[in-house]
Amino acid sequence: MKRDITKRHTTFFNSDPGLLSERARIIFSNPIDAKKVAKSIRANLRGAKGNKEDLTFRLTKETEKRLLEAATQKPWWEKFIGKTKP
Amino acid sequence: MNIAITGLLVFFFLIPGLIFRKFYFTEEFSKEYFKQSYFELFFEAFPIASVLYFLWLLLAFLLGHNIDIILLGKLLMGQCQAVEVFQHIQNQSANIFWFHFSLYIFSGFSGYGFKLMVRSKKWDRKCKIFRFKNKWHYLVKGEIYDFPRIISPLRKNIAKDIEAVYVDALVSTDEGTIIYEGVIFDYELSNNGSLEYILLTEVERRYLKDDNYNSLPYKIPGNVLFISNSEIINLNFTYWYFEQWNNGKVQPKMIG
Repeated sequence: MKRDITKRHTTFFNSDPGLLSERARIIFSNPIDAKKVAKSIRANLRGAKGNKEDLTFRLTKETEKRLLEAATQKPWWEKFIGKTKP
Repeated sequence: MNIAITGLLVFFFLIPGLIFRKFYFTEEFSKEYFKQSYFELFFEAFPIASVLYFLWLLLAFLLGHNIDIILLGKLLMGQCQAVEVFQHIQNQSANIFWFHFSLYIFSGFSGYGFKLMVRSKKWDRKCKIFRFKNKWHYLVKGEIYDFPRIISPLRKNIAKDIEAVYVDALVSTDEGTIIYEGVIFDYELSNNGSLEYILLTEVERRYLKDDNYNSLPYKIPGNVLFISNSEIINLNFTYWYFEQWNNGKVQPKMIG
């Protein structure tokens, strides 16, 4: 089951999501990717004055793996009550 | 003496309302707990305490416990003897203790639970009456995009789509006005509800006079930069989400 880690969901048990989405948190936890993101944001912000090659970036393999793990992570309650029904 | 007992009773009566407020204004909204005047505090705590006491008295009656409301009324009006009162308290001390203890626990849980409900159902964003006074919270988190007067059929994104917040902070220094730009990491409020500081990461700095990007900005080494509100002239927030392409590339896009 895939979890949506790209949105900052506000739920009853998570009424105050952080400043970053879970995906952004994972990306920024890697210093190499954090630099790429910041560079890309600046390029997109500056438009014509920015470096066009920096408009997009590629994540490191390590971060991609962590993102995939986070997206497919089981819900916490499954540890206690077993697998949820499909 | 009668006035003292009445005053004490009113104070005890307000306690559930104060506990409810304490647990309602928590975390990002804890500064709002502190009120400017006792009158405001009384005005807010009294109706909450009234509702909580009513519910708990009802529960006590349903469970078969008889509460001597008449004696309570006499006590409030100062029309009974102290001996009679303390005799009653001694006889019912256990019941009185458990009644109030359980009420205080329930007040705390209901205050916190109500806050969670307001936040999860986004009532504070949809309706001003539930909105907390921490305007910086709504601004920094981008939750203003869920406000009714911001929502528009042309607007494609809402607050939950925001993945990162980028800030340009115009800061006054002795060497001139500097722009610090970076991704906002955290922020803190002062006791009066104003911004105390912001923390940025992946920060670059340039002088305002060099704001045409002809000169390269200076990349500030380090993990987190602290900027105090006293130095900030203004802040420019841009809200971003990340679009992942099929070829594996990622592009940050501004919230629209």
